Amino acid sequence: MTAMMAAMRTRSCIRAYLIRRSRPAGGTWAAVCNVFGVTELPSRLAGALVAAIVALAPAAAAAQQIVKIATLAPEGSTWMTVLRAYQEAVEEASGERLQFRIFPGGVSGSEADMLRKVRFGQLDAVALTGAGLGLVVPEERVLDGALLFRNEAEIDAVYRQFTPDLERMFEERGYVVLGWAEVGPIYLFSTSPVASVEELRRLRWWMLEDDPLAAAIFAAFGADPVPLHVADVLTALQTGVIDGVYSSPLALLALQWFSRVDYRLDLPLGHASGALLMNRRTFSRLAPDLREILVDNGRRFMAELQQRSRADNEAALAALARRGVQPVAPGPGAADLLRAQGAVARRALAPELYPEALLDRVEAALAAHRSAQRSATS
Amino acid sequence: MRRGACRHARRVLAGLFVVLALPGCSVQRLAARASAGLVADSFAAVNAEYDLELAAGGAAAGLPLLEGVLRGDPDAVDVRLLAAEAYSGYALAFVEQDDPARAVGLYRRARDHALHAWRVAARHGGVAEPADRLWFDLDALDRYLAGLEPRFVPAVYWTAQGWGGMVKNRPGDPELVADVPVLQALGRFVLRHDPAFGYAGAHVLLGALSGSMPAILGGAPAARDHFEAALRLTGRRFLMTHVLYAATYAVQVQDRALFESLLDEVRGADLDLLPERRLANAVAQQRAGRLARAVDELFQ
Repeated sequence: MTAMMAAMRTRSCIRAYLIRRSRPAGGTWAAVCNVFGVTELPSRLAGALVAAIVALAPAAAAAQQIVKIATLAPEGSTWMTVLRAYQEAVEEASGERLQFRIFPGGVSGSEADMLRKVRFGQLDAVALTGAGLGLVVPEERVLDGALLFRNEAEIDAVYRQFTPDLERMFEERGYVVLGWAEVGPIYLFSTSPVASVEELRRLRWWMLEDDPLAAAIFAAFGADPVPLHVADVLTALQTGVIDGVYSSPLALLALQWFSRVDYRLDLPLGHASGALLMNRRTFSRLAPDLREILVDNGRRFMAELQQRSRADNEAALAALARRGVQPVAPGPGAADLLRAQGAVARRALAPELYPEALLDRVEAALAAHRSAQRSATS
Repeated sequence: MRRGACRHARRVLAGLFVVLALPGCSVQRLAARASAGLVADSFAAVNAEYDLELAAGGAAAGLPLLEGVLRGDPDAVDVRLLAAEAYSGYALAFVEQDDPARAVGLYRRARDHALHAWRVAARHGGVAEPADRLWFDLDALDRYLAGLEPRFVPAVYWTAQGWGGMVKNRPGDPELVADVPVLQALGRFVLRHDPAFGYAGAHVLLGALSGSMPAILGGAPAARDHFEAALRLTGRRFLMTHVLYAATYAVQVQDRALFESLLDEVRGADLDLLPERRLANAVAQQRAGRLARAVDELFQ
């Protein structure tokens, strides 16, 4: 595949991805407008209608508020265990004035479906991976940049510095961020060992349909990936349609892809982000003390989730190794080459997903962090 | 009923006395064999019991007896399988709803008893024993199971049941997540040779595993087929099938009508529908009640 074709694919993936972007969460009213094909009402009329609706609404104070939350994470997973603990803490601290109703395991559909349901007022909050977060704030995907981070301390430093700005963007687009927790490191898993860019290029890799980040990184590597639905990947591995996939260790186990791959390139391709979002309008209607309970506990439990999720992915790597999925260290010079191509891939997504200036700032912050670490150790 | 329970209690106590009172290897084994029948009878009585409290007491008293018998005769295949069934049943009926961590330990014992039975039966039958590496190498496991005779169905089935209980009660553990394809392979073996075994439990196991998977990953249609097959094979008389069908598949695809009709069927059933399994059906009714009350939390 020529470089030009690869670049075109990246562009078309970005377009397809951005088309699914959500509009600001407007609750039921926006849904009604959308259903009737009314996208914008004359502002004075809209103002009068909203005032009338607010006046008719029963007093929200003292009544029980139910927060409906959806996630792809299945019941019993670490994500759900921590969300349940969050639920318990919130319900206790609020004297049960605030209650959660959680829909796990993707019963609310894909992340795009969940966001649509938030807009229609059927859900109030969603725990999303970077793919879903980027549908609201594409700039967020700078955190999922290919080969950006080298260790957890770097992730923590960049999140500390950049999530406040991103949270403001989510707020502008109708969502409150209740907390951040990464999904985990993403590795390349394959049927034959990959220790160099040449070996990587020779294999047929799976790619999630319309995933701009994967399109950009495979284009930078000069590989020609095969776009497939997640449900078709296992069969494609079995029949040799593809030779490799990218995934977090935990997802590789849960999706059973591990049974058809033997090697893992021991250099994370990236680190998938994740966060818990709430409809800003629903949030702002809550009493101030309830808002505080939600946010304080949200930060606390999502931070805990971050730690547990890291431990889980470590345990998943060990479980994989016991089942014959062996780590392969990058050959001489390969890590540097792969990282350089990661930088190319990150650049290829600007300015459509995020402004080039934001990427510059993230990379500069990382460089500063690394040099501070170096001087601290020397 | 009460007199029956007393009679069983006496037989169980007599069994215990025999096991405790006779030291010495061969005599002990003889005694163990003698008491095994009594203990098996007492578990049959527990399974037919409709009073949950009475059944819980009877099962709890019977489990140490089984362990006692196995001390005297560690390689008694039938007793090992009875122990596997008894621990699985006890965890399912009385423990997992309130204490999943404890249930994992009980299910582990169930699995290990069944595995022991499987190994002994293989050794005596001149067949290769299931080596531990099979659990880490799915191709090797498939090859092994392809050559395994149908008479191993009970051992394979109870191994899968115990193991499945561990996965169900600690679903986030990466090591157990990785075991799911092993369970599916064991379930497929049972389906190949005796799909009705254990009230079509292999269908239910495979249905619950697929039914817990998000529909976008393609688990749902397979789950429905397994549950429907299980209902057919059992004549809709083993009610735990309905409960798991509702709790996994119906919730996953958000089919509230199916959920409610399955649970209504369970709650309206007569416990004499399947007299030898009144306990399991009573537990199923209890679960159905809890699930039905949670309907608004499970459906959007």
